[in-house]
Amino acid sequence: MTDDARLRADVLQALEAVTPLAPWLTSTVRDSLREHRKKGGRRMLAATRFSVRGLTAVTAVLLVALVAAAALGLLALRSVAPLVPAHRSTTSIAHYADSVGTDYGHVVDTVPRACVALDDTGCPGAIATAVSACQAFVSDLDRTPPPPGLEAVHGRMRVELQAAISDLQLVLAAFQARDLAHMNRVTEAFVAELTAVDLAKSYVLALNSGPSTLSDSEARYASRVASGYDHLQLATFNTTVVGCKLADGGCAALWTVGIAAEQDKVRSYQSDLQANPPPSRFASTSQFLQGDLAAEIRDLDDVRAAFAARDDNAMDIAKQNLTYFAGAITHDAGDVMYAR
Amino acid sequence: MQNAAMAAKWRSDSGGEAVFTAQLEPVLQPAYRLACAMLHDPQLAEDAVQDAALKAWRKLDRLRPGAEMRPWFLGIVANECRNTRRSGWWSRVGDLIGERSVEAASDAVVAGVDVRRAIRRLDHRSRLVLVLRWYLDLPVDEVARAAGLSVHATESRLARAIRALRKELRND
Repeated sequence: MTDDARLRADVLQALEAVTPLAPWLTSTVRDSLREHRKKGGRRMLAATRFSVRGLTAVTAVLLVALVAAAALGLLALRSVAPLVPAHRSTTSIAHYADSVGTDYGHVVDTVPRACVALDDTGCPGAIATAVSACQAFVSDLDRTPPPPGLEAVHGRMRVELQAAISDLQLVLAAFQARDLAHMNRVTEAFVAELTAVDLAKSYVLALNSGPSTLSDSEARYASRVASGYDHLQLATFNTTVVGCKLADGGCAALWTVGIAAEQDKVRSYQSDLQANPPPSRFASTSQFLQGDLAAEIRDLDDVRAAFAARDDNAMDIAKQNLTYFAGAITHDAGDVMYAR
Repeated sequence: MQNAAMAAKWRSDSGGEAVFTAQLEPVLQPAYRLACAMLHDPQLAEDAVQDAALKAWRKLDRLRPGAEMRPWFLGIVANECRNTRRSGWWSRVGDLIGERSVEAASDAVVAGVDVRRAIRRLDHRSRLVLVLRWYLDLPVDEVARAAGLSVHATESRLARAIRALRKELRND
């Protein structure tokens, strides 16, 4: 068996294992089409789906969790206002975690799920709400000095939120320009930034429930990973790349000098990780992270090549990949730097 | 316009719906397998196929005369999967929940964890091309139509996906 044939067999087996039979699918689709036609096709798709099959246990659990989160958010809003007095010079971890958790909850509640297609008329309103929730989060961070040891996490959340705000504005611009492909790309970048905030928030909340149990060598390695990650300034860089189009004269320097500078940073991060073997706890994640970094370098090459060829299609693909691997870097670096 | 008028007529009576469903039926299981492979969550996969069926029903006028139903519908399902992952950004968490809930099921499931993790790390288009070609065994030209790519781009995307997959698995 050739390597390709063996890999293909593995892929088949791996995917078959998580694809249960669904013999009822044909009848549910038929029922939902019939239902849809009866109602004149004006109902929301999701509503149709739920009425046809009923809520599953998983969906019900998710809904309960969402309702509970919303209720807790409301309670928190009533009991903690203002969140942080402006004159405080230090903040307790409990207070800080409370503030971050609450603001994060508000942002998540406003994630613009409406902006998935050009006919989503609720998109502009949803974007405005999400931007305002992100801005409120940033304002609260500015009014809430981080507890000792959380300065870097604090700064990181702020940077990611600023990038998320820029991306939301780009989503709106793409929506108004009827550019679905651009809208999709920017949304991916936004998701990556929110994921970064989510990781940081989880770390803050976890620290509030108990101190870190990292050994000295693990803590040193986590700090090294964090420092390299911060140096990349991925969120800001990606927002700039995603927001730039080939025709934008103002972006000319980005495609050459900017890309080369970012590549240098990625290479330097990669070399640093290669020169410093991870503690066993981080061995696997570190390998993934290095794979992500290698992919990022290759994708940056693709961006440069697409610019040289003035090839919009190739640029789209390169940006897509770049955003994807930036998200992967954030995720894998986050697994290390936020380990406890 | 002719297509639009025909589609509107189809949509207005139950006979049209029956014909549409009959055409769709043979494609539903491949669509479901595609959605499972893209989302790694049977529940979300079912939802994606149902939503895609409704969208296909609405977009009938865009199905060119003589065009095949399978790549057209699979393309809609692929978009739906992409939207599912995007619109619910918590679906990253859902992804993990789905994976964990089935991981304990059997040795066969456990054995594929690394491969599925590697597949999840591919970008959307690469994953789509890989799944359509290797999992659903579609011919390259049909993969290209479903993925909205040229045949050449599809071949190149597939080669890159396989390379990336191999690299991920070596790293694992």
